[in-house]
Amino acid sequence: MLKRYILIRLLLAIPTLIIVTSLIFLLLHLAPGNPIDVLLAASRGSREVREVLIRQFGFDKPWHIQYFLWLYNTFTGNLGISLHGIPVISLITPRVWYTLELMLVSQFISVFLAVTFGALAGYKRGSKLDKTLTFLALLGYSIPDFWLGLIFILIFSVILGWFPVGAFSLGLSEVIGFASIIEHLKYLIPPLTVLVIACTPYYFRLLRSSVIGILDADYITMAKAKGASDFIIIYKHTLKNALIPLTTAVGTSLGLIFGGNYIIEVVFAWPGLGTLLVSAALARDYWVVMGVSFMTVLLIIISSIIIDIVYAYINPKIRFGGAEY
Amino acid sequence: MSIYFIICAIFLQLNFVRAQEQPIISFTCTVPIGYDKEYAAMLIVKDSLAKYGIEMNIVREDAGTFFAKVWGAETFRLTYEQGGFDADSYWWYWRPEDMLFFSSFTAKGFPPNGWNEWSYNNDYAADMLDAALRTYDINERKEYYHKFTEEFQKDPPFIPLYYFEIPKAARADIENYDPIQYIGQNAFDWKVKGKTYDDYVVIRIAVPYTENYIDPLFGMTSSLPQYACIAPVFPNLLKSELQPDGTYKLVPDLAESYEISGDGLTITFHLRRNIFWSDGEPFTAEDVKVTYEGMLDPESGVPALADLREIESIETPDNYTVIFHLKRPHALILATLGGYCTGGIIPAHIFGKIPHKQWRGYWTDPSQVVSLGAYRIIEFVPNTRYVLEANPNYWRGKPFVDRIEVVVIPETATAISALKKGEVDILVPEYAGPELLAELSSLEAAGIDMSFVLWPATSYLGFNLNHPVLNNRYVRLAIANLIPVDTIINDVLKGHGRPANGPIYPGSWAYPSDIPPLAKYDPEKAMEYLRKAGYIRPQVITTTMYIYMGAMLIIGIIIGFATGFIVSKRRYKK
Repeated sequence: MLKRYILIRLLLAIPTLIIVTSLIFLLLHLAPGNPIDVLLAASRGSREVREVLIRQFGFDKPWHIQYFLWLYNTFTGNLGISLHGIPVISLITPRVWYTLELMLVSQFISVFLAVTFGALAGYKRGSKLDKTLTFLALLGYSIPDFWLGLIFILIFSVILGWFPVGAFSLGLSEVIGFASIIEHLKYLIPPLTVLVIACTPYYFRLLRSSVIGILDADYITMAKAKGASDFIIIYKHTLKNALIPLTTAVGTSLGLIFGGNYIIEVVFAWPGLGTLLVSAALARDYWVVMGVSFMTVLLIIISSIIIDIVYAYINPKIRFGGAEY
Repeated sequence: MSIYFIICAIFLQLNFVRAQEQPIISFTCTVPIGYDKEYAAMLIVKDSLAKYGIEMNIVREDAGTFFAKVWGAETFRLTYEQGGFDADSYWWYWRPEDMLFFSSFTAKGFPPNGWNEWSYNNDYAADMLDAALRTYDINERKEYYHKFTEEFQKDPPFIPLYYFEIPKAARADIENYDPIQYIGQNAFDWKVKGKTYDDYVVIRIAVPYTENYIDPLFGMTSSLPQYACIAPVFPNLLKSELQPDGTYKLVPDLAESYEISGDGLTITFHLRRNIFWSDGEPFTAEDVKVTYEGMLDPESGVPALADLREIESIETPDNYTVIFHLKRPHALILATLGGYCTGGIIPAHIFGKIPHKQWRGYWTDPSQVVSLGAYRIIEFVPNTRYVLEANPNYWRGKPFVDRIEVVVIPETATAISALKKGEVDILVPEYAGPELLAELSSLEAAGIDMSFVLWPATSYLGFNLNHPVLNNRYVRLAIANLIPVDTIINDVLKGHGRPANGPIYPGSWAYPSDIPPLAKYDPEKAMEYLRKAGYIRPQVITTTMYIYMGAMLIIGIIIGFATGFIVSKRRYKK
């Protein structure tokens, strides 16, 4: 059943990809200007080459033809060539790992912290601990992550000098040996911390309220009545049920998570997809923007499938029915 | 009743005042995002113009959209409502050693030949610029540029606002670093205090963005940060050098000497001997010929300057002589053979064998790169970093600085923090802005050289001369006389700038120092120009209006008293 479900989801991913990328391509074309004009404006060179370049890059064709050509090439494994002659695939591949590293680690830590403290706060509702945690969560929730990143750099990198300011010296090179892992962690911790501070409060608040809701349920009273310990009540009866809304939240906010991740990447000069996307969008480098969006959509689809599987694992009530997916 | 009349009078007066507040001219000024100085200056200008009935709306657009509107072939010459622009404000970069890009001031510079973004069409100005190109005598050229500036002040396509200074933003112990020359051509001369020639010296430079090229033809013809990344790797025939008087001059680099024929149509370069490419092949005249013939062919897609198109043919009588035959004398040809916007010389034994069409993106990996310069590129990670290493076989000897790392830091605040902490040693001039100015003292305390140098650029408020109102030169002159330029320099630049009199910046040999600034605050003169343009606001509250309103008031009072009198009398009767 699971295999079939995954297969269907993957097949459904294809129309999703086509719709999303065609929308992005249309938006890129609605923005005024031709990439070649932007490219040539920087150098103020002769315009005789303009026609030649437009022809070479295929921008003389109508946009839908350009799009279908790109689509055809993409599904045959060729993401095109950037305006600067570098194959898009070689720009993207090394960066995907950096983005995934930052994102997965930050999400795992956020969920872990949210579950621990959320359950605690929900169970001890109204206590001093709960009030402190809720206040901290509200604080973290209200601070814009972009600003937080800059403040983090100011305090921990410039004033205290614990961390490097940005990850710009992190070559996309191999991470081998213990020493280089430590070196790598030094670059990873600042953006990671900011992302954790940005994500945890959201999950924490969600988990706390659902724990509170569940604690009022009859089966908890029943469990208490039969004399179950606090530990069993929280971690067996409450948490498993409370995780369902959390999983949903993670699943539905994947787009936001990616967006926030990309902004933080720019602040810390993290060599991931976000910095690439921003610079490519400003330079109107159509094929790089398309390549990065394609990769992002693909990653979002894959993560949502994984989340669906986790969902079924947490709650056996949710089954992958043949008709409903 | 009398109250009714008084209210009527006040209401009428208010209407007149409102009519007075209606703008007589309205246009939209576009400022690209990232040009914060210009935005702040425009806010000051907007307030000043509003007092005199000129409404200037300010919009900010990302640089890609903005440049596409200003330069783009589809939007060229359209006004803001039609999808182009009415007015714009940013700064235009000029080369310090010669007047490259000046073809943009002539109607001959309309696409496809040039980048006349303002659609400027002034025959006299165009003639002066053209005459300045047809002679190689520097004094004669200076005179033509002087006449051009005078004409420019009478009919400006843009109002030059100020020339601005930028902080060096480099570690204080780096000697000979010149932000004007960028890192391009003088990285060889850099020294670091307290280090010896034998020490392994590393300098790290932050750039906000690059275009990811590692070949000189495309990389050195794109933006300045990109130029910084690879210019030390690829030298050209000439290079620009700082003179004792503070100006810049073109001196031979790969060429040993050059001479110009009497008629100005032939330029002969004698090349240096015993220079070798990094793969061991000797550098010969063939390399120069292949490079420039490729640039002249549009099929190669090199965005080379239009000035290069004045080359008729290139001849190589022997291995160490190159002769450029020109269509007509062209003084800028030397500047175009000297670096930025032209690229460097590429190896003929590699590029001579492949068709011009495949030149773009032929090199994608540093291991493929064959170069001649003081540095070699050893690592290239797109959008992240370029690593250059000293070339031990460079013909002038091994450079003092052994390794230059260029790292991309998109966020200005991050870059400033990195400089403060010593993680980078130099910030390129693209970071200079309010954020950097705000950190002046703390950076100085951290051992950073924050002395100011005049940047070769003119900050301006430019106009689309196809706009139905702005095409009137008196309107433009009126606006020029309503710009509180001293306020702008004191408030926005914190005093690090000076008012501009024209497009030529003061560091250039051609700067006409005796011409007064164009932008100033002189409302009376502005009103005079507006009157000439026919856009003066009619004086709505005239003396007759006041008499009329006074009469209304008196009539109201009389009628009021009369009614009061009649009413009270009737009551009394009853």
